[in-house]
Amino acid sequence: MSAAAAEVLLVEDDVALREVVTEGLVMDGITIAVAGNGREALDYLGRSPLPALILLDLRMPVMDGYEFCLEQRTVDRLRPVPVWILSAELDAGPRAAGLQVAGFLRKPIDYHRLLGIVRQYVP
Amino acid sequence: MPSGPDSRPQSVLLIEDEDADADALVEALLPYGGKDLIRRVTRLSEAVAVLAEGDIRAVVLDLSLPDASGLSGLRRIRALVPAIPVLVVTGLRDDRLRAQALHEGAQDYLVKGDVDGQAIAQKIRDAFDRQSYQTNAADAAEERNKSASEDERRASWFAHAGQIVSSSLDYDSTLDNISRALVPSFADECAIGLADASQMGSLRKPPLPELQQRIDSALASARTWFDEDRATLMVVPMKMADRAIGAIALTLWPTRGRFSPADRLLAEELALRAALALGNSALYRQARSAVALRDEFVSIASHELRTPLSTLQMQLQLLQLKHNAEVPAPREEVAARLAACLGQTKRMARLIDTLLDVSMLASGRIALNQEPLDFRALVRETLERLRTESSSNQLVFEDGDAIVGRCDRLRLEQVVTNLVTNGFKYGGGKPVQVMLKANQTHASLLVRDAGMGIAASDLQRIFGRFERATTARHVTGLGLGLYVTRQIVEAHGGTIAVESEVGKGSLFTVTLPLDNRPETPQQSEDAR
Repeated sequence: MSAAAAEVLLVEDDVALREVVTEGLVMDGITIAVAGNGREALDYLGRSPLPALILLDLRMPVMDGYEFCLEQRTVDRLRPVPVWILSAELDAGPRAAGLQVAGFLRKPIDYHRLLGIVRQYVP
Repeated sequence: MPSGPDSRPQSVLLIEDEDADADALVEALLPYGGKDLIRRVTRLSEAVAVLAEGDIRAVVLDLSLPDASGLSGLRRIRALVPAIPVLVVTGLRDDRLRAQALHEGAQDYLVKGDVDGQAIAQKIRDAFDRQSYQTNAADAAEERNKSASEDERRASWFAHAGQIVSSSLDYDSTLDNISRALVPSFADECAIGLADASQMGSLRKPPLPELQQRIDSALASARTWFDEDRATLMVVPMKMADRAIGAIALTLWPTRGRFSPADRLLAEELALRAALALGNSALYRQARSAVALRDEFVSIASHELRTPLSTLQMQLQLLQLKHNAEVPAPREEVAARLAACLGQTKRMARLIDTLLDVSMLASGRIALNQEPLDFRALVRETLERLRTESSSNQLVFEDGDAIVGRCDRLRLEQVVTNLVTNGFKYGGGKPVQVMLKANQTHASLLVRDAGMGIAASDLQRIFGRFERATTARHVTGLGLGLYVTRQIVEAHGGTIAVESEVGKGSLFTVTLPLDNRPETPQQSEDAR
């Protein structure tokens, strides 16, 4: 994980998916930091400049996406950072609504759609 | 049904003051019980006292007694016990008196000297026959009425109780309903014991130790416990096939009486109904939990397939972008992306294989293709493959001499892969250590990680289907690895065990028989 200011933080435990999302966004000139689970994401956010957007998987070891959202809301500094959920779960949509996140993208992820979302936050 | 002379002792009252006449009569009645059958008195007043005791079934009356004469004795007796036949035996040959006696209810009028003892005995027998026929007929009619209404009462109770017992498909409600059906209409208290104690609700009050003992013994023997002498307690088994799945202990408070043998039959019948109801609700519960488990599994499986699908789709989209770009991508980049795509297709194929494995293992179909091979070489090769596939994880393996045994190569590879990837997943990034040991008969594969460990309460559960020690949301993977691993190991006649300490890591030990018997397919062919 880079300590330099990243525009997007991707929280995803699957290494292959993390790599391909990173490669795509980097190719489009976006700086990105990655974390393997909610705990790593909180650690990163604690010591780095805030990103413009967090892309968050739900099912992860150690600390999952739900727990991350609850934690994020308790920290004043982190609360304003918009979160988009990336999940394979069928009911992630309604659950995402309950989590008060900015949006929800169902896996498998369409790269063009993902880039469009990122561009809303990173012009 | 008519019956012979009643042979109950002293059931014939002989009222005769003449000893000789009395003796002659007793002698004549010897074949029917003689002295024991007859109770003799000499005066009417004594006779009245004896008749009041209620044991007399026939009276032989002499008409000339010290305290009665003529038909006054007959009238007195008829008034006192109208249902008991009275034979008049007299020395008086008097047709008018005879007619009068018969009119006043005498069974017969016999003149001493005209009839011998044999004839009197016959008359007494006839009198008995007629009386017992009448009594039997009356009793039978009364009994029929009584038992018909008793049967009706029981049948209606049983129909109602049976309805209550089978009114729910919920297991706990069915247990409650069994009690409700029996208390208070049949018994004052009811305690239920189940062969599978884990099925008992935690709120249910356990019975007293003495009662529990009786319940346990009914569970073990699948037989009713019923003591007819004490009859305030009975324990009936709830049987399915010949096995007791539970037992019901029924208690009556002493003030309410005792259970009859008919009650016992009724309780046994209701217990069968209760067993059926419990069996049904247990099946229903199983079916529901199987459906819930399957839903959970489908959700996890969908998640697990969608993640590699995401990667695959995005790699292909990036390739497409590169392809359409003005400056084509370098060959190496294209090669790397294609390799990544193939990697994801392999990953999905493995997931699908696991799903198929599970459905196959669940129905007990696992075909092993066993061959002689070197366990150590197989483990070494599998670990090399795993190293290249997940370069970020560290793997320690001490190589050594060949360990030759028989097993299914692909299945053993699967076992090694499952245990090692599990170690990677839960090993907290620390190295996973693999060891292989052998003695004369068995080989042991040990896989140790230094990760989060497994709580003691979860140790047995982790080998179940769709089970895992962590909560579902924290999981990546199907939660089937250890289940499949155990099934494969057991199909080889081996065992799998785990030792673990929370925070320190886990050690999985697979022990497989080497099974080095010489291969003699020809012999086994002949033996068939």
